[in-house]
Formats: sequence, C-alpha cells, structure tokens
Amino acid sequence: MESKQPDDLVERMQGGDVDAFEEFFNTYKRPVFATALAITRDPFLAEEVLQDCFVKAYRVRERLDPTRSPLPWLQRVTINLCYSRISRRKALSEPLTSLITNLVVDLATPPDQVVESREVLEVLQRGIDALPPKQQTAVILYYLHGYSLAEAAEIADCNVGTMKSRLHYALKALRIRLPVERRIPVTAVRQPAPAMRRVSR
Amino acid sequence: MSCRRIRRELLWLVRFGDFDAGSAPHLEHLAGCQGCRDAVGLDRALVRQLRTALAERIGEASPSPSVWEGVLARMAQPEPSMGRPWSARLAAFLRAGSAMAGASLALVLALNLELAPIGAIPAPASTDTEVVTATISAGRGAGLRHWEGRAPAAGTGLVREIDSTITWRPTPSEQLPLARPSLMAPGGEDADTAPATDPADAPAVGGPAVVINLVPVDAATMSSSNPTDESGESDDQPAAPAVPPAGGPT
Repeated sequence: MESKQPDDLVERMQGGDVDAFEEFFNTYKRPVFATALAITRDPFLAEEVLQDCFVKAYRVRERLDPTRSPLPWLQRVTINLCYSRISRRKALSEPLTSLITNLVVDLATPPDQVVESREVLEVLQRGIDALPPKQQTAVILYYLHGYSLAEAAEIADCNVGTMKSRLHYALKALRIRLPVERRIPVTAVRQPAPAMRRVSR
Repeated sequence: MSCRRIRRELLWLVRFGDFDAGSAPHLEHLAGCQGCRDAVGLDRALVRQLRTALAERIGEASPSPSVWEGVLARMAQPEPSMGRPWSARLAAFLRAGSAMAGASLALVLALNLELAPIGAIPAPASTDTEVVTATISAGRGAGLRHWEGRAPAAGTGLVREIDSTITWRPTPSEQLPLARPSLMAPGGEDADTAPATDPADAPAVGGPAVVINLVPVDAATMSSSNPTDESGESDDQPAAPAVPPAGGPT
C-alpha cells in the first residue's frame, strides 16, 4: 500500500506527540481524502470526513498497531463515515460536471470513440453512484486506488473471493447500465482481435 | 464447455489476472471466437473507462491547507457521548409498546366483556331466529345495572320485560362486536342451548336477543354453590350459557 510511514510514527503519536500526529496526518491525508471525495463527490464533505477520520484516529491511537500500516484502518473508517453522512444527507449534491450532459453522441461515430466519449463517462459516474455501497467501495479501492485484491479485501473487511464477487457484479451492473442509457451499442462494438498465439493443449 | 460459460469465465480471468495452466482451453477458445473477443474487449474498455471516471471524481483536488487546523479544533472539542446504548433504547421501546398494548387490551375488555361474555355465547344456527341469552343475578353484575333500561331508550331494539326477565333484541347497529353473528365462533353447544324466548315472538329484524334474568343475590349464591341444582334449573329456565361463573368477569 502507498503512503509509507516512518517506523515509529504511531508509537510517537501514542506517546502524545502532536508533531508526530501532524506528520501522521500529512502522510495519509491524500489517500483518505481521495476515498472520501470519490464516494461523496463533494470536496467540502470529503474534508469533513477527513477531519473526522483523523480525530477518531487520534482518540483511539492507543489501539493502533505500530507494526502495521494504519492505512487500511483509516480507509475503512473513511468509508464508514462517508456512507453514514451520505445516508443522512439522503441525496448527494449534484456536481458541476453533471451539468455537462446531454451531449448528443453521433451513433455513426466509430464505437471505440463512443466508448471514449464524454457522455459515457457521465453515464459511468451515475452508474458508480447507483452501485450498492459495498460494490462502490470495491470499485474505488481496486480500480481507483489500485489496491490488490487482498489489500482491498482487508480494508473492506471481507475475503478475497467476496471482493472479486463484488467487483464482478459492479462491472456487470455498469455494463448493463450503459445500453439502457443508449450510449453504447453493445452489439456494434468491435474490438480488434488481440494478437494471441494459439495455445496448444 | 459452452461458449457462454467460457465467456463468463474468461471475463473473470481477464479482470483479475487469474490465468494459469488451467486457462489454456479458455485462451484457445478466445483465439477462435469473435464473440468472446468482443465481450472481453468491451469489458476491458469498460474497465478503462471506469478507471478514467473514478480518476475524474477526485481530479487534482487535495485537502485545503486549513484542514489541519480543523482537525486540531475538533480535537479540542469534548468527545461526543455515545448516547444511550442500543439495549437501553430497545428496553424503553418495549416498555412503551407493552404499556400501549396493555392499555388497548384493557379498553377492549372494558367495552366488550361487560355485556358479552365471550366464552358462553352460542353460535347461531340461523342469524334471523337465533336468540342469544344471558342471565345474571340481580345482586351481581354491577356493570349491567347501568345498562338496564338504558339500551331500550338509546336504541330501537325490541324490549320485553316479563317478571324478572328482560329480553332485548338489539338492532344490528346496537349489537356489540362480540355478539354479532359474523364474529361468533361457529359450532359447539348451540344445538343444545334452548332459547330464552320463543323465537317466533322475537322480531325478524335485528340481531340476537339478550335475555337477562334478574335473580336475587341469595338465590344466585345458592344456585352457584350447588351444581346439581344448577343443572336442574336448566330444565325450567332458559339455558344460561352467557353467565360467567361466580366470581368471574361480568
């Protein structure tokens, strides 16, 4: 996982060293903020979650294991805080980027360009928002942060098989969503055949 | 192996890079199947676009420099209390629910059981002619006293008074819920229960009649203390299925 920490950072923080806590904060704030922003799509809300997450980390610092990276724990707390806040808000504030919609895609455009289009990205954004929280978390951890399956499973507190299953169903949901919104004519998409060697048994 | 199944497994393999020696049939199939290549290609395009969409969500945004001050300010605040534990809240909820249920039950009993003993009401064979009888001693049944004479004035049902017996045939609107034929339990002892009055005397309209025999306190006490006498009475007196046992609810 990213954001390597100095070996004694957590230990110093546990000793009440506020400077160590600031260093701890600066070390992990980016991935935590990225997760919060990816889920909430609201920078202000993401900053609130970030602050709450680190305040909580400071309050339970005695329970942190100095021998392990605190990042999985921080990410898990961040995810929980995000979804609890989202459920309180009921509806997410609409980001500015969503205003750029209704860009008519010319269906005569070659399919690969359709896939690359702006509108498909918007459809995907809405599709990600519509995913169940567990699948959304899996997608963010695996495809955004690039965590391995084992790391993502550790953060999401599940096993690797479950993480694979969540990713599988998330992709399936997104793929189904695309033709419904008439953005990708699935049957028309023709990818060039990969240059693969025949594998003999 | 069907193409559909191979395609499903291929997508799994490609997504998670789980290729191994056992994947050779899948790769061989992929090389010769245009449909599967399309499916895999579309899936890879989807993943690529998904990564782009996710990266777009966070963009170049980073937390503002004032976030650290916000963290320090929140740390200075007292830790919020966790509130009452869930077990205490559950117990309070159950207590409130039990109290409401008990009050509702008491209300229902007070409104219904006073005049319509549940266990002794005979089910009617015919709703037009069947008569519901009830006998109560004059010295007991305080709840009935206020009812005597009031129901005829309040309603339109036929009331007959012969000696110490009051017969009241309420109209459907005057019937208590528990005495309505539709709510009575079917079958049982109704066949052996003699009506208090001749059904021919009762009007055809309206619900089952209630016959109340006013018996002196002493007689009621004696009859209740001697079961044989009580059974003997049943030959001469109307059957009293609606009479609660001595000491029972009125």
